[in-house]
Amino acid sequence: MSYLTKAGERFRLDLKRIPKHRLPYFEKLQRETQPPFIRPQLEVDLHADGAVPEDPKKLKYLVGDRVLIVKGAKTGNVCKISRHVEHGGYILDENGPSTTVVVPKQFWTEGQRSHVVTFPKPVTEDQIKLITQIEDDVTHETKTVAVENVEFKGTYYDEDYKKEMPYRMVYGDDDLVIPWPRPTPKEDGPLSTEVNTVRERTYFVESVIKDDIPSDALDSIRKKHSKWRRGKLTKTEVKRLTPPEMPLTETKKAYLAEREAKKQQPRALITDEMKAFLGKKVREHEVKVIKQLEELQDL
Amino acid sequence: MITSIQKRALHSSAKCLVRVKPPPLTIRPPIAPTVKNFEVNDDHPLWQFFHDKKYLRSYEDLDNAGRPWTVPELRRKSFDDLHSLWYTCLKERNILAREIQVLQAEIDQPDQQFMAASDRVRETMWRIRHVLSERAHAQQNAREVFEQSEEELLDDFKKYYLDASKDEDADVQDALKRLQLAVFGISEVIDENKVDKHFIKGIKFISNLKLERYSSDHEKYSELTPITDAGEALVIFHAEPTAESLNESIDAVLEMRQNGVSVDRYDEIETIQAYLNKLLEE
Repeated sequence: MSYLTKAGERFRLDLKRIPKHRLPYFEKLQRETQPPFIRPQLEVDLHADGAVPEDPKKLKYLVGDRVLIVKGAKTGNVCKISRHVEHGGYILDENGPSTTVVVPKQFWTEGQRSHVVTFPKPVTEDQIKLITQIEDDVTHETKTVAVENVEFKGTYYDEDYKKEMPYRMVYGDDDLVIPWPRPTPKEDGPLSTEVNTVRERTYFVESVIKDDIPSDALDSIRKKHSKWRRGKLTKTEVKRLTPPEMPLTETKKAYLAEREAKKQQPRALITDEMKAFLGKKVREHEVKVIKQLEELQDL
Repeated sequence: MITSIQKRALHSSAKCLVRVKPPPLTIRPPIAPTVKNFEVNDDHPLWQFFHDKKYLRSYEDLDNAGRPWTVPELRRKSFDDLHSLWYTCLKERNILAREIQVLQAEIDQPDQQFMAASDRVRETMWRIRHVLSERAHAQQNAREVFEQSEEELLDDFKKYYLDASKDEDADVQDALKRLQLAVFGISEVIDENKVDKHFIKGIKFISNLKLERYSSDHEKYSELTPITDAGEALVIFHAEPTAESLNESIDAVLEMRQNGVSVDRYDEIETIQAYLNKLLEE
């Protein structure tokens, strides 16, 4: 069940890591192997991250925004953005550009009756301009205009999007703020947790001695024998890090053998007589030292 | 080798092994291979691999609105909460894994929507492990830092405890409760306690502190302190924080000394634990 683990993910073919001179091969491969109804409609840069960004600044126009088509066959049409697609594409409503492709029967969806299907064609950012309503300075009438470009400044918390959103304004005119479209409210899914339950705090640091985590659970939280733990070295690493030992000379070998032989000899027992002799010698030495000290003091 | 005579002998087994003609076959209606023909108990453990006892969910039944728990959200949750959440996630992933496996037989590759749902749950799971390991490291680091500054902290608390006026008695007692849990791991609830070296050190420290605040003018105070015996410390530790109650416990301690009752330093942990167990049983 390899799809359950992500361990091999980094070994999979990743076009972003392929050198530039090898890319044409993969582009050709894609062209030749993908049938027209699967082929992406946009020009795809295989090196770029094509995922739909979450940042509204990068998206520029969100779902629900009214836009004017300024390039292509449907120039002049006003549409609403219905969704974002990968590699910076916007899918517009029925007034937007579309394309017809032939779909083989095994890929037919429910209710389909013809091989020829019309798909909405994604447009890029430069093919559309945002439409907004502004008040005329002179006549004070609201009029609908297409905005040449937009910029983002400052942020506010949006209740409907439930996140920090930047203010979107007409480029070069900070007073003309174009509000973001209201998102369609989402219903809670079967796995959703209530906001209050999520926000409720149940962890409090109360003691430096008592742990919140039972000690038996620690090994299953972090791998006990992970090689990334500090102080863990493999046999190969130890071998590589240890410098080679200098070969011993004959003299040294003989000396070590002699020392080993001496170690093997039984330890001499100290008899009372010996202790008395040693004690006497120590005392004699002490007296001698004291005498020397006294002489030094006299000086 | 068995001879033909042996084969024909009148063994009793020959009777049992004699071939009996089977009864004539009756043709019954075929059992259709459908789920309805199986009866499964409602509490069968394998139901946990099914969502709402469904063989396969539709895309609409999947949780498409949700998002994984974020790390800051999980940081607020206790170990027990995270443990429960982990198992909820694990069960959901098991259900999804089974469904992906079922779908794979048909479309020859893991289904993208089910995989995305599974990945969202997986995201929560690695974050739980991340938060817990982060917490474990933080606790370890805190303990190392605390070891160096423990003396200083206890001295500060001692000064605060002894200098507080009588009006502040309630605040002081609350602070003491928090300190005993924070520094020595002594909980108010008896069965939450596990006697170890910190517990013993704690009861000794707190009993000396209580005596100094409430009974320093007792005639036997200088003779009695410092309390080093764990048994004596426990008697004083249990006393109410009032002069009368502490004086009573002082009398009890003096009586213990007269009778030669003391806890050996090497048996402190076992003796006190046995005493607490006895208290719990009562």
